Amino acid sequence: MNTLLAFDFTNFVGRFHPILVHLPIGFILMSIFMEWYQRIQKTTKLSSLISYGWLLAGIGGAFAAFCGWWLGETGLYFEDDLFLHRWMGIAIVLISFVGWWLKKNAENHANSLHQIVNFLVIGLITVEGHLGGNLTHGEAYLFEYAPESIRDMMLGEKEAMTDLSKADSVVVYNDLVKPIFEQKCFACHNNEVTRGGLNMAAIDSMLVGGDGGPAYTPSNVSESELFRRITLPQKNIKFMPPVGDPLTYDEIKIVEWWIEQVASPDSKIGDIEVAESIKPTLLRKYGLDTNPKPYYETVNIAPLDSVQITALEQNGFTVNVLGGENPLLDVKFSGKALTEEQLKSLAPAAAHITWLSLARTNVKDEWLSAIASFENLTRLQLEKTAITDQGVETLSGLKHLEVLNLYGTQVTDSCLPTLQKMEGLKRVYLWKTKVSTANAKSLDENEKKLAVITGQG
Amino acid sequence: MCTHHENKNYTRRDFLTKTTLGMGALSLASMIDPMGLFAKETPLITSPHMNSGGALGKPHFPPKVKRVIYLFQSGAPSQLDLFDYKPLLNKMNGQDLPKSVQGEQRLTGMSSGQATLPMAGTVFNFKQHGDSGAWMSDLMPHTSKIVDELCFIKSMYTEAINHDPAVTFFQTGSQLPGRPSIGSWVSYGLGTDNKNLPEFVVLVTKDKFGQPLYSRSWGNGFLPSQHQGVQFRSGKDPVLYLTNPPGIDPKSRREQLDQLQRLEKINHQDIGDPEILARMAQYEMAFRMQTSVPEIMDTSDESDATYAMYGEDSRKPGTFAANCILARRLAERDVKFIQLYHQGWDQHGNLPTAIKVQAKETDQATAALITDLKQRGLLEDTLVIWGGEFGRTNYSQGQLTPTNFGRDHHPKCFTIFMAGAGIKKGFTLGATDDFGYNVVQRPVHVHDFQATLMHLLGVDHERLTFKSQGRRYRLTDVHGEVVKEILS
Repeated sequence: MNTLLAFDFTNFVGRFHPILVHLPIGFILMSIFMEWYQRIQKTTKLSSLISYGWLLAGIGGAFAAFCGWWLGETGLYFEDDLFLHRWMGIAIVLISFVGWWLKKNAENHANSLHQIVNFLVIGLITVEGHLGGNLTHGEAYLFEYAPESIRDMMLGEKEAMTDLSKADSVVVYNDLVKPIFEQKCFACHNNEVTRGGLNMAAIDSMLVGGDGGPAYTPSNVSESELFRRITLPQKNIKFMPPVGDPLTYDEIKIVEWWIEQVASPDSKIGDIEVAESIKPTLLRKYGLDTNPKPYYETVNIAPLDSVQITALEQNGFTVNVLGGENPLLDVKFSGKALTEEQLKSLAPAAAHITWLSLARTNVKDEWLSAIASFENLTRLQLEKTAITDQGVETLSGLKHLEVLNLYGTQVTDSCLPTLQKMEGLKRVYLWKTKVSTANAKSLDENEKKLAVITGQG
Repeated sequence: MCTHHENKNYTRRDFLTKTTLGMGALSLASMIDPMGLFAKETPLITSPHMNSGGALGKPHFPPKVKRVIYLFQSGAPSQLDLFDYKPLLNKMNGQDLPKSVQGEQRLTGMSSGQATLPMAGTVFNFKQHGDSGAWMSDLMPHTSKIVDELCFIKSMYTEAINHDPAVTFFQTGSQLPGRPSIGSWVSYGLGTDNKNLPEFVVLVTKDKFGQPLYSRSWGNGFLPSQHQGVQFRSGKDPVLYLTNPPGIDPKSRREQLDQLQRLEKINHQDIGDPEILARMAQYEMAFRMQTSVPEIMDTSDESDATYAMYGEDSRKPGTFAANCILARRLAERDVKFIQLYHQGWDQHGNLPTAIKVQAKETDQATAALITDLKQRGLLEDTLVIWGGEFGRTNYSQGQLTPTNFGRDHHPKCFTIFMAGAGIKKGFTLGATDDFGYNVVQRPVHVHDFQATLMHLLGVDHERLTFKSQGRRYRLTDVHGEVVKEILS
């Protein structure tokens, strides 16, 4: 229990630092201004109030430094940032006493010496105050809302952020877990400060662990001390973090998922099977959509020349670009009277067409060879045409075709083996065809990835 | 006194637009193309969204949904008697609604004066259906069979507590009239896929009463007027005044329109009012609709099996079922936004009897529409939405008897469902508390719903804006988050 009391003492005294620290600053600045005023007025003897100002600043500063020392000891600040602020503060206190001595017998010293000390102190206080502000509010605080040019100059180029829009390339530990630890644990468990003997700066050091053994056991949340600590009742003396905000629900879920599921420190989301239970958290907290992307969103291709698009439109096709950065095309023949030449005119867009509708046209089986090599075709609508099994056979090489609409065509049961062979096919529509319902149903049930949609009536 | 009549054709707003932004645009345009300044011919159709393309040119991202059929259930169906099963209400039937549950929620004047707010359990049987195990009452036997196609949001909430503001809020994103409706935004942003039909068609079940529907629910607000919803009526004239009067044949109509075009072109060069263009676009659309609309409305090619599937009602023009068939026909012809309205869900009293009628009128046709779209492959890129403007209270308005009660308006929670492209099937999002009064899991605001709808259509709801009265407006105003959890 003693440690707990001492700990509270540290915090209790430490938190007086911000209250006390501003008073001596005022004393020093006031004394310096008084001195300058008197020098401009050519007063023969400097007021003794000036030296008392320096004395009060020294005494007040000593108190502030004392509290500041303890505030630094709470472990909530990074050692690197703290060092300069701490020792510069102490230096200012010492200089204040020097100033008192100097001003007490001002005539004994050259004016230049006085001014050197004055400017030195003003400079030190300015830098010291800024460092203190950074410690409290974070380094970006001062220039966060500055004009962009100033901000870039002062804060420098931001560290390249991981592009969270591409879920697959997100490294679980580095991009998701480590930032949580950085924010909530690193202040007390880093390379310099290792409270409880634990350094959380790297996975290795976490596995080495602290006084109580390894911080966590991979793939075993219930044996992981770290996880136990962050999920204890908050009043428990062992609860982590002892001060500051506890981990949020989503953060705890992420840590749990990482311990349970993520084997390697370099594992990317794309490398592992993302459990259903963590998907909502990834989506909510990071906007990471871990659902598989449709094929047409993974195609990288230069946009089709607008001249070509116009040519397609002149051939009777309605052409839409999918949208956004995606240059793939959604093409539809509007009308009925399609000719083979028109269909062949799609050739320049062979790689670009991903959705194609020839529905309700007089397209013929043998014409389909014109589109049989469309590598990025994912959806093909042939409903209400005279297409037969032969036409389906022609299309069997479309390896990315996912949706094939054959409703109201002449296809029969013989097309089913062809459909079964098409590896990318996910849904095929066979309502009002000569395919028997029983056979369609059995294909639907036998082939897990393929849904065969027939209809009623 | 103003005597300069040649100037009075400017509206105040057009005048200001032209003299400020207009001059700027003029000088910019002439910098880019100095000769263009002196070009005499201005094409009649100038703004980009007058053609097939919408104002966006192309969607913000690849759309999952190319067209929407919105089955709007006006009057607010009781979620507690249809979808949101709350056994606790049956257990506590007749007891006063605990104040702790009601919280600070305001009540309408219709029940705020009641001495007690007796909780009313449903009188209908609930069962779980399908692989997804969705709860449905026996009021909707047909829809119950297709629950594995549906995505329910049980945690919808709205800000309005009365019908008109709530419908207006749902359809336009604002409780106050004057903003464009969802369909108008879609038409404006994305344009048309079928130049012979309007992008936005409205079908209202005929002879239904209850809370009135105002055409502003499908109005264009401040968007150019060709983006407003076109109502197709049942009966001889689906679109009023569309047919040529006796003695006028299509050829002379065409000649008349061509002549009018020439005159209006001169008019537009003189005045520059963009509404002239909108009106001419409408004339041309009407001309094309003279052939396309009769073709849509002529359902003689529908099979008996289809009528059987949608229910016998579907043979009677103007019923919800008949409108569902029309909706499918419009979807087949690539109309982007098809909105049905079915009134009569406002059961303040006599709920057990009245809701049966409503459910019977809509259940079979709704299920048939979704099934029909699916078998035709249209569910690949069509979204169907079913829902009202708010929910109904868990307590009885008026006297609660074992067989009769009513439910008041309740904006804090209600259920809608969707089916089709881009969303999860057999999925339920969100939940209400055991009293069916408050949302306890994943609240979805009306603006969130609208944002999601636009997202599915490939539109970033924050980037489809229109400047009016000095500020840029959007459907979701300054709110709305896409409900990613329901996206497939």
